[in-house]
Amino acid sequence: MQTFILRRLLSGVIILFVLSVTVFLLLRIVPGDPAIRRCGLNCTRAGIDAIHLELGLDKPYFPVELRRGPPFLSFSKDSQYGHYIARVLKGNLGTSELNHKPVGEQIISRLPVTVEIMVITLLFTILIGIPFGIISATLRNSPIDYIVRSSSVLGLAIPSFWVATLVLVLPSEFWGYAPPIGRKIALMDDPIGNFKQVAPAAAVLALGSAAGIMRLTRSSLLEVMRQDYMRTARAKGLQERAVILKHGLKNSMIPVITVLGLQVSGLLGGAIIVEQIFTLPGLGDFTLRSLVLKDYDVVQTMTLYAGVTVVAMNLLVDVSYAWLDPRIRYS
Amino acid sequence: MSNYWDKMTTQRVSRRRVLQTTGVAGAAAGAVWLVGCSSSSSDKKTPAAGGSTPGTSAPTKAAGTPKAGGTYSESQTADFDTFDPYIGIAASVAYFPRLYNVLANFSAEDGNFRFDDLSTGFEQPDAKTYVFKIRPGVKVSPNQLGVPERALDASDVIESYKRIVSLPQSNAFAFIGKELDTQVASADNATYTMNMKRPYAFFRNRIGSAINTIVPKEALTDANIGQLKQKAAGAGAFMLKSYTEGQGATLVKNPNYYRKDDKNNNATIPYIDQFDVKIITDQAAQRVAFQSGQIDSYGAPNVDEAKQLQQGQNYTVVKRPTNTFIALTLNPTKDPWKDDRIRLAALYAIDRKQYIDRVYNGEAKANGLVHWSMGDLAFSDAELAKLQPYDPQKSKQLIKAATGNDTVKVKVMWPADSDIEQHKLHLPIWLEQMKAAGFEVEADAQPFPTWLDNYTNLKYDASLSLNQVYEYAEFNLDFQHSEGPARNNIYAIGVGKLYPQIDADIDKVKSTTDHEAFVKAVKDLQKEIYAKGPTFVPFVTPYTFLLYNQRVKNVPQSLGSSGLFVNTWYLDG
Amino acid sequence: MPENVSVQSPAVLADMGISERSEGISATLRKLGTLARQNPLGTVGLIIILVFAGAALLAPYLAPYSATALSGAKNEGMSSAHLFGTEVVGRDIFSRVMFGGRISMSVAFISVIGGASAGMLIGIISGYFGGTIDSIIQRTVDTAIAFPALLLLLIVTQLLGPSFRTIVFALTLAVIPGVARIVRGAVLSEKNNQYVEAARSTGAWAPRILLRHILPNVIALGIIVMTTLLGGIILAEASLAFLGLGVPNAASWGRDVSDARLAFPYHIPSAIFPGAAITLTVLGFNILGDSIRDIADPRLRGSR
Repeated sequence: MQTFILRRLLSGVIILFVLSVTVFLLLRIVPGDPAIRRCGLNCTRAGIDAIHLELGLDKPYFPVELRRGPPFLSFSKDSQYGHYIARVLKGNLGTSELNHKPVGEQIISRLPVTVEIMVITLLFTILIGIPFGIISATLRNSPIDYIVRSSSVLGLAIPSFWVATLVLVLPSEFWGYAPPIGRKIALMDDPIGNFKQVAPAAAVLALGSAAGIMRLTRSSLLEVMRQDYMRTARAKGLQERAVILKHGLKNSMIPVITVLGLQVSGLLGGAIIVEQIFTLPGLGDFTLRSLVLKDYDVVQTMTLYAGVTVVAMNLLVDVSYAWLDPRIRYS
Repeated sequence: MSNYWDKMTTQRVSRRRVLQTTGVAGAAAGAVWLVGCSSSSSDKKTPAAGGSTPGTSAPTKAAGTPKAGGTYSESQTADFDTFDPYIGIAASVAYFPRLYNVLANFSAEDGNFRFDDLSTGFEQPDAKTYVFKIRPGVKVSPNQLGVPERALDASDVIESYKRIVSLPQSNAFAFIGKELDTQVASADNATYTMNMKRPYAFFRNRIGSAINTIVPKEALTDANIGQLKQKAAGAGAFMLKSYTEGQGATLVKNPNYYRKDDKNNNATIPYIDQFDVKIITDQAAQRVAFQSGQIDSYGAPNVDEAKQLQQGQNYTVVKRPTNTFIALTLNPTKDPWKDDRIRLAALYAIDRKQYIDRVYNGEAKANGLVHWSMGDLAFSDAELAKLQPYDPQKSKQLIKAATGNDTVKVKVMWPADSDIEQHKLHLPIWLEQMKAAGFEVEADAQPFPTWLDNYTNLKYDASLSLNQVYEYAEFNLDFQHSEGPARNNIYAIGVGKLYPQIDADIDKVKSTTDHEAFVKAVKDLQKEIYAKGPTFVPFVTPYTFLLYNQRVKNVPQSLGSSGLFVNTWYLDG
Repeated sequence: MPENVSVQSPAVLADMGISERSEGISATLRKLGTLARQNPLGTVGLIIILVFAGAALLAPYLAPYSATALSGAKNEGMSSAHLFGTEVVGRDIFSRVMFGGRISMSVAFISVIGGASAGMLIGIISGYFGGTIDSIIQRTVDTAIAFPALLLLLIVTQLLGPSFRTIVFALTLAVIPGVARIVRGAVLSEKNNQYVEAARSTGAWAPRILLRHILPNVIALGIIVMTTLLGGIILAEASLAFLGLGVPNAASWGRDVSDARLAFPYHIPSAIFPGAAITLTVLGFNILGDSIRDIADPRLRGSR
């Protein structure tokens, strides 16, 4: 088990490295110089050069670079990527080119918002998806099953940006109600206000993910219920409910957990749109803004953040299998 | 001394009054450039970018005696970047006039308005020299930077401007860095003298700009300068209490503020205690926040929206020209735009009435090369109909004459992910009009940073550019200059590239300080450019409709960004 | 990830795709009729898709106006001249809904077919050869599957610029890993089938085994997976368009939702139709995909 985790961590690091180099290079070879965005309409060439100097963008990209002529490689101790990596290893994620603030600081202040959205979305997802999935599986082909199934298909089909806009705009138009917009209300200061702020966004996100989990729980449970050991359990005269709860559920949860894990890392993607629409100053909003403006250090950090989440969730999911299903052993 | 401004004042007042005025955005023309272009930080027409900010020179219809106290809140579509006024370009710019001071501010919109701030007035011994008398008692507010609460003087102006001169990346560099020759303070620091390199017609527009506000010299030391990115220390009406990245800022009134309300028994101003700024990037969310009373003002992007919101409500509505416009920028060094006839064909292809009707429900007016809200520098509708008629048949004839074909292929770039209403709605209309006039437009939609990079580096044939704030006519003219609006070969290559005489004439206009001669020169120059085929073609400038919550009293009249210096509005209820 | 946890049951490799031929048209039709009766939901899905695909294909001939023509005043209500009213600058919403499907569907089909083919290839290589290649591919696939899809799409379109090609490329990238994972699982279970082992023990050449025994089954699986992916890809394309990064200058449902957002409260047609078009199309693809999977794997019938 330990060697397995170690091996996984190592491959994770390699993946993150490749990811960071790719994003680093792409950011720089495509036009979109941050110095230009820092300069106003009165900008001058000298001004752009001054900002390049300030941001270190005048240096070569990588410590080792290919060259056209012999000796075909050039080395540099003073490269942009070299400095970047050195900084990141020291725990300094850089500074936003656009608002002049340390990226780490901004992430720390924005993380709680996104974590809250994710936690509440997951709660909604689990509380709605799993129970209805079980009901639907046990009452297979009943009207309830049909209702649950059709609503889950619908939930997967509705675009979140559309629903989110409707959820934001319509109550305000018809009942004058709006969630608190703009400033983040801290959970500790005002839990109710905080919930009002986060819940609509989480509900919109949960629409899709709960539908997915519902379908998966249902099919996975049905699959398990067909297995031999379930028949044995039934034959032993155990009550149907006991069979489902004791034997079926735990075994059917394996794929559900996989997908929940995928959803956690995927939620950052969903958060991009809903945070934007509901004006929640979280990481999704941060990511979108940095991408749209090509804020180098922020894009770099946010892709790294997404990568780390992904690697961690994958590992976590694999480890949880071993716990759920003792037959699985990693070597 | 009679200079252009004084004459302009007397002549323009009545007309300006009728026109009402701008309020929009951005204290400085270039300043909110970034904001105006980016998609997530959206647009200018809203109070967001500064326009909602109330303020009035003379409380015209004050609804009673001003009351002190309360918290006013407004929203911004873009985040703050820094409180260092010399490098700030985002939402922050709209708050520099609240936090800091200028020598004096003159409204480009209301010729009657003059705001003597750190100076009590100035004299002009000759056309290139300005001698400012420093106002005593402009005292720095309590602050977190450790700047003593003392009165500002000429030495602060000198140090502030020195910093600009040393910062080529500063927005203010184009004025202070390029036009200023020498600056001198008297021994007692009570007078401050500026010697300009040449007589400069736009001096008064520039001097009061938010991007060259005065910062106390202690804040400019090497140790403190970095701190200005998150904190502020100045002698403006407000002081910065807190700022949270991505969420907003809170300003509170400066207890040391030197100014009193002379219309109300010299009462202490500002009346409000606190000024909350919320960052709400999404326009729909802004609207919702306003409807539910979470912010006190909202800039409706068109009259439809304003009418819908007003139903069953009783908001105060202020109608103002925005001073923003979408413009087409052509590159006269690239085919087919090298040809005067093709440029003229593109000019005649524009049916401005369609934008006015479809995008703004009639609440906009057609622009010539100088936009209409610039008063007598702009041509009347009747004159424009002759200079730039909508005539797709003529466009086709010109294309035929120039190329021998019925149509001509042109490549046009624009920012793809702009969520600026104005841009999004102009684009489909313009594309249809171009098609009707014989142009085959090859769409080159680019992500915003790519577009801006290409625009800056002149890597384009033509660009449909975004609305910016043009508070005075200088940029309209400079866009036609061969070296572009900032005179350093970025953003645009004007028609001056093909006709050097135009370059020379632009410079002549800019140093004409006699008002009548100046107005005539600006108009003659425009006619000259029209004959050659302009490379920078503004479309229309709309009115914006600013809605205020009823409790906001003494709501602004026509001041443009100068209103940001005035703090006599108050809250009642 | 352990093999026995593959979400997709390997048994999905049913005999579909290799149907009896030469039965005559009427027999085929009868068969289809039965199939439709047995799968009412799938039929509904198919009808929805046929309607939207037909509208998209025939839009230039059937739509009352072109997608870009300023055919009415802005924000008109529903009328006989404008069935769904007009949008923010006066273009006909009905026509735009028809034209909007062109980009959505072509992008979706091309990228799903491309992505699924590449994914299948990768999955086959990974599953058949195993070893180091397999574990490298699997680690990459793990990461790619979990990486937020919208973030990936945004990065690619932001950096390469929005165009038809970029969007197809980005969506193809998003399709590959999921398909690769499922196909690898299928290949592994095929590989362990007795007939494959028998073929191998007789010393048959690896490509031959692949072609003869594994590929047909894997292709069937690939087709099933493709139908289930289409809906999600259409949704992703719409999200990109909503953010302004769709195909420039083309009628697009996502873009129309974004353009009309401010008018939602007071102009109902623009609040409803473009959004509903996306929802219905995705819905159609999803239920059709479900049905196809049910048909292909009777054991799973009605389980989703």
